[in-house]
Amino acid sequence: MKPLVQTPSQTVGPFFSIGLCREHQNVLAARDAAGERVRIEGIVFDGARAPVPDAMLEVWHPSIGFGRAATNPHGEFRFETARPPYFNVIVFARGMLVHAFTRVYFSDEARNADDAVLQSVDPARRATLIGEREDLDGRPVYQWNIRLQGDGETVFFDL
Amino acid sequence: MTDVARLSRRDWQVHPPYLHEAYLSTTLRAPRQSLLHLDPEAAELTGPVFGPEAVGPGDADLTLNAGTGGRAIGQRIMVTGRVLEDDGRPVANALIEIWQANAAGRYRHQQDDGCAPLDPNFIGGGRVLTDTNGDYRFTSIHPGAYPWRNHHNAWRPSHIHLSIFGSSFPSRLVTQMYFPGDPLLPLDPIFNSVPCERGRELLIARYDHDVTEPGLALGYRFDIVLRGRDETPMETPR
Repeated sequence: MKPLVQTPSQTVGPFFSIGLCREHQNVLAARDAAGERVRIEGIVFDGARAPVPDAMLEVWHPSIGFGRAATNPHGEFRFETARPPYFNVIVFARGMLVHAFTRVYFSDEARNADDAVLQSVDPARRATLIGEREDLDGRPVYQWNIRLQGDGETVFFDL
Repeated sequence: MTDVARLSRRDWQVHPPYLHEAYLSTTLRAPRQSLLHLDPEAAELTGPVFGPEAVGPGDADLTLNAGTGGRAIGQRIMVTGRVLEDDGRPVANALIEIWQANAAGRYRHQQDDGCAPLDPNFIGGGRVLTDTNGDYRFTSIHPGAYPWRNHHNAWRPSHIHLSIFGSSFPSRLVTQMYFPGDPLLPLDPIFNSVPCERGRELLIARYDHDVTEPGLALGYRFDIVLRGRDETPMETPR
């Protein structure tokens, strides 16, 4: 059958919270999921190193589930979750006509060395996909910033 | 020969580029490095599953879901259509999230500092799930056009934002539905970021008098096509 033409993407614009942030979805339930409870937090930056206050991230891993977090006025986002090997991540923002696919891995995850996707990334840019573990008050926190453009630009996938 | 289920690629003939300078906000937010090609074998072919619990009663009627007991001001509209994968299969139980400006062209959002009035009976957000045939339907009001700061005398044409979850995470789509005959369309850099005429046409809803409800609401039809399965015959070694 002749394929249909895909509906083109358009930006979420600045006011997406009216439609997309009705509930808080940045705590991923997955009560039965294996893995320790962790926090993933960071800042979304633009090409002038300015924080992006109107971006939204969606994360998905089959064993953990779906999460969503908008950035605050300082460009910051945060997820509380059980830790999978990695999350698939979609970045949306005002000024992004098409969303961007990336992944977040975890700095102390032994399976990183065997991950075909992570190992396919230029070693010089691989760190952009890795949340760095810090322990704050005995709780594991992964710091992961997203740079949409410029020095240290996050690796985005043609997925 | 065997069929290997894969996801079709994003069609960059119809999707906008990240950088579209006429839309100024793209200049510092567009990734400049080329995207890293992921082997289709590594693509994530699962996705979040939504059921009836994702949508509450009244979510699909934006003229009433402010819950004030009053009805939103504006030209009432019905919007209906089908969500399909690009191989033609309907997507059942697809969650569609909706947001839009009110009839005066104002969003109920603290960052919208426009001078048009708010409507106490209109939030501008809603949700609907497709049925087993991939069909959806919601009720709203015709959103107003509004000025923005992109360039001198810039106005966004009337539009409704739609966010759709398909059967896998990569089939995710966020788009905007426009209205036929809007004189602002040729002037809008966001609409015109779509690189081909065919793609731009797909973003314009069609007035459908059969959808129009007598005495109640004007009817529009807007079909949505997501990335679907790309069943490529592959030679398999024996």
